[in-house]
Amino acid sequence: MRIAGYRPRNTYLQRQLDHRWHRFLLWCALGAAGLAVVLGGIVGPRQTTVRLRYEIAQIKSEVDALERERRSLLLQLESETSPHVLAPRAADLGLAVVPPDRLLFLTSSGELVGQGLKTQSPAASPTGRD
Amino acid sequence: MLPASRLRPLVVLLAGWAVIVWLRLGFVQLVRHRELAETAARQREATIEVEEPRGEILSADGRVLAGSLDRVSVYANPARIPRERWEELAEKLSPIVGLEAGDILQRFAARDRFFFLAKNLDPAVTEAVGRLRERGLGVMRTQRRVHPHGSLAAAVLGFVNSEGVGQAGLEKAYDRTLAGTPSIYRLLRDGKSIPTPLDLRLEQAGRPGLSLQLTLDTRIQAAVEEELSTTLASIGGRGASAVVMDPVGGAVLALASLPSFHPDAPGASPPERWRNRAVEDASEPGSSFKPIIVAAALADGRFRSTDLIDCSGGGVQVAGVFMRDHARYGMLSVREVIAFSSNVGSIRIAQRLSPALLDGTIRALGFGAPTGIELPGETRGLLLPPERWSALSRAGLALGQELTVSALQLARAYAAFANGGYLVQPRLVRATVDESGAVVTPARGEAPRRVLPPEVAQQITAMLAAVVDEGTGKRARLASYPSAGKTGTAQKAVDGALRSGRHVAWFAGFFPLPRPRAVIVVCIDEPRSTYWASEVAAPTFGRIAQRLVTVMGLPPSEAVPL
Repeated sequence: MRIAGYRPRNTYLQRQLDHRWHRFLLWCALGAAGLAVVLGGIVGPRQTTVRLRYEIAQIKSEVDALERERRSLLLQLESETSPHVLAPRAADLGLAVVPPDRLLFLTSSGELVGQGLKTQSPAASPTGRD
Repeated sequence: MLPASRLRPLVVLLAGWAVIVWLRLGFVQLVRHRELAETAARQREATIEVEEPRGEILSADGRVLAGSLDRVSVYANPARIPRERWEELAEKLSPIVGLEAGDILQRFAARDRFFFLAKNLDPAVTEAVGRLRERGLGVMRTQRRVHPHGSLAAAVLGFVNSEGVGQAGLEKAYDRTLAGTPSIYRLLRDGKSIPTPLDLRLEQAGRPGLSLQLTLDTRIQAAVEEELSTTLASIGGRGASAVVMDPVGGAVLALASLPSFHPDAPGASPPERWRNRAVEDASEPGSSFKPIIVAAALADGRFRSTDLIDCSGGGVQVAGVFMRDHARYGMLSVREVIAFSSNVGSIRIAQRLSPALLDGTIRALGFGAPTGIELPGETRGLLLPPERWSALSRAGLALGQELTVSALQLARAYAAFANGGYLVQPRLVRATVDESGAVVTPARGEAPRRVLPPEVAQQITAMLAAVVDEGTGKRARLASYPSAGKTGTAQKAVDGALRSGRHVAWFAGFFPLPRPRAVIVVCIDEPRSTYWASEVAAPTFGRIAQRLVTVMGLPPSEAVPL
């Protein structure tokens, strides 16, 4: 039965502290620590793997970029040393194609042969047209 | 403590719930497993196809004639990009793709589906686009075909289209070999469905394209193209082509066709420049065909090179048609018929040969059939079977008419004279090689076969040498390097009728004697200021031969010890 305005006032009652509570907290802490260790054991290597994969991916892309650059430079070198490009440059520098009568050849017997600086045969007027 | 009677419904409820859960689990895991696993994989994983680099085309002297550079294309799908982000993205994309922000916004607004925002960009932009973290944007790897030597040998190399598929020349003929197969990778997507490089797994290994090692030498090719250009510049003409071939092995050292185009931008030139005139065009060979007629006569044993032919009268009547000669020659030996290119002498020789013999020799020397060179669109030329010949046909053939030949076919036939009577297969590809340079497939081709007795080949060579020494080919002469060859000036047939003022000038020959190292055929199409082969094609042959001496390091045949 409840009586309005009445509240028990037994001030002598103290909150009873259950001493098992400490032990429970201790178990919880130990469990959490164990879980943290287990998680650390699993996540740690996984994180390392992820990091390494990122690094590998990065290095691969760098290798790709360097390979691309190598190919690009090689093609640029080809372009710069193309006969079509070199010929005008050589002509500008005063170089000319060597005519056969200016060439000397070393034979297998060790002899130097050439045309004896013969002049090029003239463009003779043709005896016949065809 | 609750009484058992009140706990029972709760237990039943929980058990029922557990049964439902287990049944659902079983259904999902056993019945719908595959379908759901695939859906999950689709959401989590992405598959990308990575093109392997296209093989290179390499010259005999180790130069790269065609190679590939990695490029990327940036694509956008405005339907997947929130409209409020368009402006911000356009600003950020502008420096990456090199377009104005306003232009990018316009493009977003104009399209509501996938489109390429920019193509042919440096692969470095991939990272910049990735940093924008927008799933409506992405990059696609592509390749750009580059030709570092510009238009050099363009008609031989051909070109690829924007998809990287060969459209002409060797690029077309060897498209499957050069292209290789793409690799397929599987990777994970992040929460925004954007692929990440994590867990990149190779699903299917691709194969890089194989490279082609050619017989073509860039130095010879450049020299030949330069000399043809000089001829066209000084004389004028519709076009020119030339073949330089090793007479023994059939290796093509140069194959030029002018006017040319730049294979990096073929669209900048009219399509008629794309064709390889030396292989795809066929014209009447004119007098350069006379040695083939004489070879048939000598091989049959009906004539000797010293036999005299009556070439007086300045012409000859054949089936009611009077065929003129260049001059009133009188009696000429067979050798002189060739040296002075007498029409009458050649006709009289041809008329004493049976059509079957004539046709047999012409076909044995490779005319009327493609040579089998590794290029698309090769002409077989025109050569009628003897049963369709008219009364004029033998006389026509004696003058190099009534048939058409390509420069390459003529080079092949002259190679048979130069090498002692063997028909060789012209070839451009020495081998296909992999990335390490190891030969994967060696050159294919027929073995040389004898088509003329060696003494006939020698006699024809001597006659052709006389053409250069004292006949119509004097301007092809090179001091200390004896050459052999024959001029040929033919009227061009347009719409089935010969047209005056339109000619083709030929010179076919080889040098240095007695062991020729190169067969050279020069063909000038519609020369303008003068059309005679002796004045147009023969000097070009001489200049090309002179350049070959230096490039090939040929010692003089008439060497003077110093």
